[in-house]
Amino acid sequence: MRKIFYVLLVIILACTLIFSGCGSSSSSSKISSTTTPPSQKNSTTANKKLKLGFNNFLKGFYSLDILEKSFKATADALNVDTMITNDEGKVEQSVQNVQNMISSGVDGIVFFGISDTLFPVVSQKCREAKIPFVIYDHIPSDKSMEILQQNPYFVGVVGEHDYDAGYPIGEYAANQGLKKAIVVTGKNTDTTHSARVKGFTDSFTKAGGRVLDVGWGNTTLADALSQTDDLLTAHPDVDCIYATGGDFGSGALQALQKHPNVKAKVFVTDLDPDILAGLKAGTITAANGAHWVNVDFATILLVNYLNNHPLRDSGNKAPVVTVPVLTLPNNQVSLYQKFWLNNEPFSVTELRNLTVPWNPNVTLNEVKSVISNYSIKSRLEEKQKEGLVTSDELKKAGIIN
Amino acid sequence: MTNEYIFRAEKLNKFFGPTHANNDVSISIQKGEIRGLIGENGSGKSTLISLISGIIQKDSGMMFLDGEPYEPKTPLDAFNHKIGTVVQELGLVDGLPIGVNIFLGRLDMFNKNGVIDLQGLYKAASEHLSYWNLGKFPVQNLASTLSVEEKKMVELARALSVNPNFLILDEITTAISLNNRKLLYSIIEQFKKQGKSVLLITHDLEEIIKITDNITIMRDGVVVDTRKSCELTPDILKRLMVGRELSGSYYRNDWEDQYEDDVVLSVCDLTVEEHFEDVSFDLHKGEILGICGLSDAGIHELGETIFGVIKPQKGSIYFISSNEKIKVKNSIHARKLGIGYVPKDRDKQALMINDSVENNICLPSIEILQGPFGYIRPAKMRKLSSKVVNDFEIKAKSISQYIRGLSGGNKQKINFARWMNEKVRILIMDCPTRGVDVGVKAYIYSVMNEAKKQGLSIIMISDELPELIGMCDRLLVMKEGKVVKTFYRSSGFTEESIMEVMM
Amino acid sequence: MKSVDSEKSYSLGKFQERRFLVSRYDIKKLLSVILIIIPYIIFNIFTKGRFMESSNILSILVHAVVPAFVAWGFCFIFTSGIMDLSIGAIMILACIVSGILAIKIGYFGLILGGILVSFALEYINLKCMIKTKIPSWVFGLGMAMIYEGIGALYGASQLKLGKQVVSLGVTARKLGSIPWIIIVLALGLIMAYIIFNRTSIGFDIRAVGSNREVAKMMGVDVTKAIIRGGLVGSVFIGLASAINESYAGRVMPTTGLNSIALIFIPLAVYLLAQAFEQIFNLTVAVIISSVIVESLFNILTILGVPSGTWQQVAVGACVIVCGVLAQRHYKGVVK
Repeated sequence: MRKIFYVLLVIILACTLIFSGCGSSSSSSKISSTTTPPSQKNSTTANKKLKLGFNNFLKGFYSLDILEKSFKATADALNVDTMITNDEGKVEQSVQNVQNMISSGVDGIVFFGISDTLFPVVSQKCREAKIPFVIYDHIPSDKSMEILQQNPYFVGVVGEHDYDAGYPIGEYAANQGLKKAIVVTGKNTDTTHSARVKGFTDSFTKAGGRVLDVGWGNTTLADALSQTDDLLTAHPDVDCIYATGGDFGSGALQALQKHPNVKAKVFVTDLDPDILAGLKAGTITAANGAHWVNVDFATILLVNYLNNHPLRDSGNKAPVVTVPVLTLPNNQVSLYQKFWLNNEPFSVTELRNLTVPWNPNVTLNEVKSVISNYSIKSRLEEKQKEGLVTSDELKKAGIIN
Repeated sequence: MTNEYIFRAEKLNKFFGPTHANNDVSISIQKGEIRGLIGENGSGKSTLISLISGIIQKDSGMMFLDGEPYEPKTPLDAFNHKIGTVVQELGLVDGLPIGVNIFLGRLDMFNKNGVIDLQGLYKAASEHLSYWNLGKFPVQNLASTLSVEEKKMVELARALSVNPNFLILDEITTAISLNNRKLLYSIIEQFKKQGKSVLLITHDLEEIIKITDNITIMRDGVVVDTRKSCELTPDILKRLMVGRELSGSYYRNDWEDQYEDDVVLSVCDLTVEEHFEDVSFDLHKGEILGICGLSDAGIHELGETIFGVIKPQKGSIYFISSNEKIKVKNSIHARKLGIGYVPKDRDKQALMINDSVENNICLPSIEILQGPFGYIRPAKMRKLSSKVVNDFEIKAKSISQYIRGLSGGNKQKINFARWMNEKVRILIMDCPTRGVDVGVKAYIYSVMNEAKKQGLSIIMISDELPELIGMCDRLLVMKEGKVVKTFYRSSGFTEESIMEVMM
Repeated sequence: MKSVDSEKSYSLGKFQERRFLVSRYDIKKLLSVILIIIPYIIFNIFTKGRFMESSNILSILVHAVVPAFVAWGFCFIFTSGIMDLSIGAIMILACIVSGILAIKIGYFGLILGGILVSFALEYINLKCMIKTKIPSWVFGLGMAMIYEGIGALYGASQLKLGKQVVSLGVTARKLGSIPWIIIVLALGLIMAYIIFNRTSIGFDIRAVGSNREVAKMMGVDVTKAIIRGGLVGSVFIGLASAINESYAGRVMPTTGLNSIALIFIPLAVYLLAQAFEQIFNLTVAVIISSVIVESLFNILTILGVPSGTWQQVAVGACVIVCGVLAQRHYKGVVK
């Protein structure tokens, strides 16, 4: 009996390893790591599919998983293979995974760095391995950028300023006449959330409002619920709640329902399904987000580089491109759900039009132009051209008159 | 049809790896018989008991209980067959109430609709303790609140709670004081009168001869003989146990107070509430000072207090060296001054039983062993521990063997040897020969004598009067927490005169 | 019954008897309760009565429910010496299944889903731990990664459909709200108290946890005791999952052993309860500890102590102080 048990255990473990091995990459083909620069290497192996590495900082976390989903969709559109790693929320794992991706023979890496200190380390690793890399979502500091720009394998950055996600919410809330706010957010060591908190605080106080307290350290919806509950007991006179993440927003909303005497409006950064539902129901006054398309354009920069067509800025430097953070009015929630969450905001044709070989003469300005025009309105108008949305629907959403 | 034997074993065999712990063991115990079982540590006694009480299972052979084949798979099986056992080393479950300990494993008898009737259980436990006159215990309190001796009494109560026809007692008497020992004898007598049987294991040769009908002697896993107790003497028993003559007596041959005038330790008005009060005495260089008393006399707590484990409410302990009088602050300070302590409960208070012989030996000598930055060279540790194992004739497979795998005697040798090796100036020994066989006993006494000659001062606390009489220069008798009399070796002390003061 | 020997001198002496005085224990218990209540009153004065408003006290109680249920689960699992670190991951899966079933069949599904998943996964864990003899914490870490992986796969599949993991919305939310959550807390306490203190399951696991060898010698079937205790514990974990799902509405999967973070507060509650065990029964101490921990966060927030930094420092310090006070007269090695 014991023997059978051990045999079964070994079989289960073996199957787990085999399946997890299959799951980590969408291609079983291995490209050997060589010292040849990728741009030259691909010219000699023109028919071979490119393979891009991608690190998800923490699988299971919605706002990070949606970046992975978007990357996969873009990779499929551009006909490249992928290798996706999970950093398990650990900085050191990010570095280890970059090494793993290099060892497994990826042609380039689409990298998410949670901490600014990671960028020089990853840059050095890629330089030593002669693997090009692009950074998405987080924009490195000026100091890190200086180091990165000295690396010929650095392809560029596409991200957003988290400060800019919080700032317009603060402005918007203050414009509504709100004066006393609390903020519900993640760990204060997380640069994303701390930048959003700072952005909100700066604009809200500038407009005459006051941030009474900041609830740091949340990781789950339940955490946010309990903490907001405590904050509302401490500050029953609050009229504005800003949550810097989707789960925190859901938690804050539920806590507010437990305090019927508190008359506060809720604002959120992150457009996840629950927040969309809140927007639709009117329980959330405004929310912004949808900046996760940054990964699409980061991938485009890298694929162009690998196809011997690096997109450089005017100073022949790797570009830094900023994606706008979109504010979603509640009458556009359904369309957002349909074209951002259920599908991709950019079509395959649009993505290919920005990439070699489909567009051999593509320029950085063309890419920047698409990004700078990125808005709910522009995207939905494009969908209308593709025949995916009707004029009536756009009218209903207030996009056209 | 009635059967004259309560228990019979035929050709029992048990192996532990390459060790043949029980080799064709056959034993028959009659109804109403008090049987002694004796042998050196490692002779296979405990294995035989474990087989009978279902703790381990035999590899071959047969057992019969009241004529019926008997094959216990668990201790519960043994309980259900009315076999009660008190084993030597294991105690009670500290985290459970005393009452629950008495009935643990059989709690379903107090089950009322899936819930244990605790009031009923505690009542039954109290009645049970009171029936056997085992003492007044607050049965709802945790077993961890009990002393070693009290635990043994509760273990006895637990064994009796199955209303046994066959009671097995492994080394119970060495853990209990004279008054409770007398109580145990009366219980054994009661058993005999009722036609029930007892299998008693003890290293106290006089005791086993006195209270048993027959004695079975084991050596190296084999039953070497079974003799009528009345035909035996301690010397014959010793010879049968070890397979050779043991030369001379265990104890000192002289009757002089042999120690120097220099005082090395001075205890002044020492008081620990609920244990003892105003205890004062001096310990001289090269002296063996004995301390004895009944279970409530506070002798064991006094030992712990002198070593600094228990903080006294009043009084002081002074270590005296070259006319310098240093107050002992705590056990760490005591250690630094050169005071060692061999506690009564070696498994819980002295040894790391889940660690190697090497680490246990080296622990008190860390300061000597360590080099720059506290680094301890493994080679040094190996050398020291190998030397101690050889010098003290410790039977272990290697220095890396875990302590838990050693016999009681060898554990005690390590407990004792590691202090001797460190060359302490004062050694407090609490029941130094508890649960060890005659061979180890003789060895410990001889080492004590040798150390005494070299100037070691020893405080010897014991429940066994013969060893105190045999070894001490002076003997303090305590009663209800006070020193009531001091006997001197030169004046001669007898068991009767000491008992008279103690009781 | 007739006594064998009535001679008084054979009974234990006065010192031992005096040591067992019950009144001292009761005084200690009373003093402890007072020591806990006094800071509450002081804090209430500081916050101008806001801290002890009935709504706030109820809110603290509500926050304390899930950690208390998980800590009761620990009482049955950890006490027997099984340090299962996959409980956080089990809870996430139990919450997800609980949510899915709640949407389909309501409260029955909510509770059943939580208990079934927790029960089944804990059974697998315990059986494998016992069979393989792998140290429980090592095995637990391995299983945590597997369970987290399953949760993440489910999350990814939902993402593909443009959804998040199951969210209850307004369905089956009463279990996580007043008054039901308080009623469930009271029922949980009664259940935990009785099973832990008044059944052979409770006594057996306590015996095994206290001294496995002695317990075995005394006739306790150690394997059976661990499994039975573990399964009872899993029911509490399952209930905690169902309550958490009903309370929060959604629990997101995670990876990289981050699920362990989910059991940090319950673990603190359990450890604090163990410290209080010298004074209160462990199951009762769990509730007291859970309320103390949640109160601390609440009071510090009301007092305006910055969260994430000074609140953590203050809570850590308070937990240590409580532990020190509770262990003050305990002689021996603290685990």
